[in-house]
Amino acid sequence: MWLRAQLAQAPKLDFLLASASLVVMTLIALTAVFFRFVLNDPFIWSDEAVKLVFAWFCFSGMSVVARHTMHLRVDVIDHLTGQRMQRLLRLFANLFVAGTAVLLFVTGVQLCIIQAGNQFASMPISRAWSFASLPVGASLMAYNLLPLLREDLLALRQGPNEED
Amino acid sequence: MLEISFAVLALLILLGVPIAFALMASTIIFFVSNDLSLVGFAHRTVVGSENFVLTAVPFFVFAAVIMNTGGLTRRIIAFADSLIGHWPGSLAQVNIGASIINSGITGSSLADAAGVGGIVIPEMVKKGYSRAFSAVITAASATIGPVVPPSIAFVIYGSIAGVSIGSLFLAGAIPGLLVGVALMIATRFIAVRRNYERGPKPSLRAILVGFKDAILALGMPVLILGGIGFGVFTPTEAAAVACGYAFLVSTVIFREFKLRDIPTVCHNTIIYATPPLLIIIAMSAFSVMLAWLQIPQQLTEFVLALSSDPTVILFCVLATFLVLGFLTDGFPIFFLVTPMLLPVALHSNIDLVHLGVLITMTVLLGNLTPPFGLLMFLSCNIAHCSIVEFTREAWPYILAMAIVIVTLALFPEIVLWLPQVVMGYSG
Repeated sequence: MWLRAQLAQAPKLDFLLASASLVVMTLIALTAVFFRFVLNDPFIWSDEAVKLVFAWFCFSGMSVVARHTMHLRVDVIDHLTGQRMQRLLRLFANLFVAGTAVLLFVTGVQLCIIQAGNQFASMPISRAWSFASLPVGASLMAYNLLPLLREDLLALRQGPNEED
Repeated sequence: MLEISFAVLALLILLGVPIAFALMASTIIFFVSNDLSLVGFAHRTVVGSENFVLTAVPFFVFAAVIMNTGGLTRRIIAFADSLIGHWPGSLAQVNIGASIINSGITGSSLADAAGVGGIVIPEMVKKGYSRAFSAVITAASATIGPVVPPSIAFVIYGSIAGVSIGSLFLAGAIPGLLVGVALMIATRFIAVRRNYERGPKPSLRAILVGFKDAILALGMPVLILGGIGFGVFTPTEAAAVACGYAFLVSTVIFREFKLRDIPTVCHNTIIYATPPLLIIIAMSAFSVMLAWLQIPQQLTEFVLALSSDPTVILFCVLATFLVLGFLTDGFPIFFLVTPMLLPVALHSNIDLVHLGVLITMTVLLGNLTPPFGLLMFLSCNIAHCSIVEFTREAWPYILAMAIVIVTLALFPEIVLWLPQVVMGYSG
């Protein structure tokens, strides 16, 4: 039950992570300007902190965008094929992205383990916190693609409709 | 192996696989075939996202989306409408005019397209313009963004080429305005031919009212450019300050932005900013492959073998960037190819500020064309039109921009006049 409840939250988790990252990195950059210009007391860690949060924004955002099927793609083939072929291609593209997500997850976890001992130059934080954004974002994306893949398969099973 | 990597890339893109993931697949094939660790690929991918300059992209988009929701963009568009809304193709002209004003605020073509396009495209569609034409106008006019200061592209080029970013900013002002004028002329011809609508001629009072309403929005370029110019903040921080300014004005003064709007604003920022960022990140790993195979060097050698005439070399360099701009995205090209072509430019006595402005404009031209035109993708997303329809409508604007680029290449004094007069720039 607990696991199911957690899984039900997963689609929102990517959005929460990406939104929080966006707001936090904006606040860090603004505060850095205020402290440097107004208080004449610059942060030495602000650039690295922004970059760390930015990685989380990008890879959590990757999952949000996948959920909304908004990743940039060339749609020329859509104009040359029928609806059934389009569904097949959509299934292929989603499967492909899900496969890449699994690979990014596996290599990302390995990367985190390798980088665990390294720290940022200006912050006493492990570099693994930055690299962890990749496996977390990739796993959320793979999870979010499951309903889309199910949808694609169901649409294919239903066969051609009036538009074909 | 290079052939297989590129063939896989082309095939996946044609089959409709998202470009970022097609690039990743192509790079993975290269890594595997050369016995390179895939952990290295993952490392390169994350490192590609750890770029402080790139953080300006979501900031600028965030600022544009806040401006959009908080009423600032609407006021800029209303001001542009009061000035040029009576021209043939009224809303198309307003789209270009608002982009020119916005370009002094956002510094990013994607943010301009998202900000202005998000408001004007639905209005254009309502008034009977085709979705593709509306998307093309938005994408073409958004190319003014990175040419008129502030410009992320100039910051990147200046840091690579060791050229004064202030000089680059000044050098971009006239070319940016010329692109705007060229696009307006092209639009006028199309609008007259297709009998598009035109608004009533405005009174001086209407223009002044529009100016008064838009003055806080128009204050943003002063804040951003003044802040960068006086060294208060970096261009990336300027983008964050733009977010803060837009948020304050929208919530405290206009009171159009409510706290309940924050999730929608974050959602739109993520949807607009992340897809192009992922392509740039994927290109970061892909560029390892290009560098390994020395593709840019081969291109440079090819250019030098053609001629020693500076004008011919300049056009060859621009042609190289044009081809690469068609094939990939602008940011990685700046990082990858610019350092390799700089010796060629220096050897041929080509001014580096002149070159920077022209390279930026040429790469932007590639952003309007398939298969990797980011502006094209974004505008098509907003307008809900296909890339095929977009491409059909885009050619007059591509031609207009190409004419401006060729003119500027032949007459460097147009580009260099402002930095020479204001900053005493001497090359």
